[in-house]
Amino acid sequence: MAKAKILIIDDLPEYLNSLRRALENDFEIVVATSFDEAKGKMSKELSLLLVDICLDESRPGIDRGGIEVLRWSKKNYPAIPVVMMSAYRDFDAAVDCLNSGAEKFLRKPIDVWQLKEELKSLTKQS
Amino acid sequence: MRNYEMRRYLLLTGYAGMDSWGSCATKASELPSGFAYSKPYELADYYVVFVNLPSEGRTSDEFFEKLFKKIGIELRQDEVVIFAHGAHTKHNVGSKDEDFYKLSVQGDLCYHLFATGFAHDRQHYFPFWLINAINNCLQGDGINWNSPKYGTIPSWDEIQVEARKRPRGLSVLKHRLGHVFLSLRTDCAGIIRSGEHERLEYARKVIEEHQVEQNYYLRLLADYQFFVLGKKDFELLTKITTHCTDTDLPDDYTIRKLLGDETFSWKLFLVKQTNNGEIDLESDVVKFLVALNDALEKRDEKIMVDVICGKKIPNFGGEQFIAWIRATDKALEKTIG
Repeated sequence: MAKAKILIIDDLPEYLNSLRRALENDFEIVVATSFDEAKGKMSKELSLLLVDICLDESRPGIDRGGIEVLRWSKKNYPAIPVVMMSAYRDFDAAVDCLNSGAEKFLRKPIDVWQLKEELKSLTKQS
Repeated sequence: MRNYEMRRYLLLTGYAGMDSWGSCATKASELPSGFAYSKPYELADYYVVFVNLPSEGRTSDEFFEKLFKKIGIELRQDEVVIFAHGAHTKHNVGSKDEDFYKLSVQGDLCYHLFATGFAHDRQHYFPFWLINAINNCLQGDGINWNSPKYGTIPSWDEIQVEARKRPRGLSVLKHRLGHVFLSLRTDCAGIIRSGEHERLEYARKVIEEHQVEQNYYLRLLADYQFFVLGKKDFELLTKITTHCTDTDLPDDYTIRKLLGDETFSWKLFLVKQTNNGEIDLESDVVKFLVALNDALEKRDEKIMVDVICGKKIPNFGGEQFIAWIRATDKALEKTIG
């Protein structure tokens, strides 16, 4: 069976690489560090998006570029589930994400094994 | 005797030259007094007062006591919210927490120390958005809040809620410290939970990514020390320089400054209890990072797997490293929220 394809969007390349290493045995991983790059990698073939809320590390707690990605994705690819993540304990942001159609909101640091299970469940892999 | 009618006051404190402060500063200079403060301007069901500080102006509790008296604020009866520019070592103008300790217990007062230079965005950085909005709505003898750009006039409830939020700088610092070891933490968990045969391949990929930077894991330690102590370099086998700069320390905060010397958890944050503070090279976490760095320099995935699986440092491996990160995070959460 083909692996589910997941696009991870985060502006921290090192973190993207470590997530890719942790997940690539079970999923096909594609990464992007910005909204523009993500747009170029979006397709109906994707099984899920994993998006960090802050896509500009120089403005942590202020930048919410990830929510723009979420809204854009829900408008253009409504069938693809989106999991949001954030290092901030930001209740408003979490509510914003869920109201905008996100399937899950996870707080960083994320336990990679728990993440793997969540992703398997959302992409219907057993 | 006539009953005292409770009033609500919003005080905005800034300094000449501060971004978005022009009209507020002008209003604050119109009263002929030693204190540069404005008359109270009515907005919704509260009054706004502008306080303009000189270029070297540091406030104190005494300053605010005198100011309240001049304005006519009765701290035991009125409700007061202050948004004040936070003084820090790089720009020592404005207020510090200690200016409000005494006043906060005397009446219904809450304050918020803001920093400039952030987006004027109501949702994400309310204090500076508010100053910018009011500055632009000051017209003639009133605050003419008629631009759709600013939406509704902030209610007193909204102002109080925003004022009680912790200064943003503290959570940014916690966020940045948390990011130093975020990838390593993920790699540790990945290697530990992989099957026996997959671990070496996993470690090989880690080495492949990080081998381009000499002393990568020691540099992470230097970055960590920088956020904890604000020191740029530390001696460890060779001189390691952090990739961080002063601008990465929000509002000039370090973890040590934030927690204060008295409550500083020296051991937890790897720091030796000395006046200057320095990384404790005997701590297990440091030994762990030095061993990982050694594996990386030798490009030896077997050593890396052994270090992470706890076979190199007695009673310490990736699991304990993750537990240590959790403990520091918890300690900061307790203070910062």
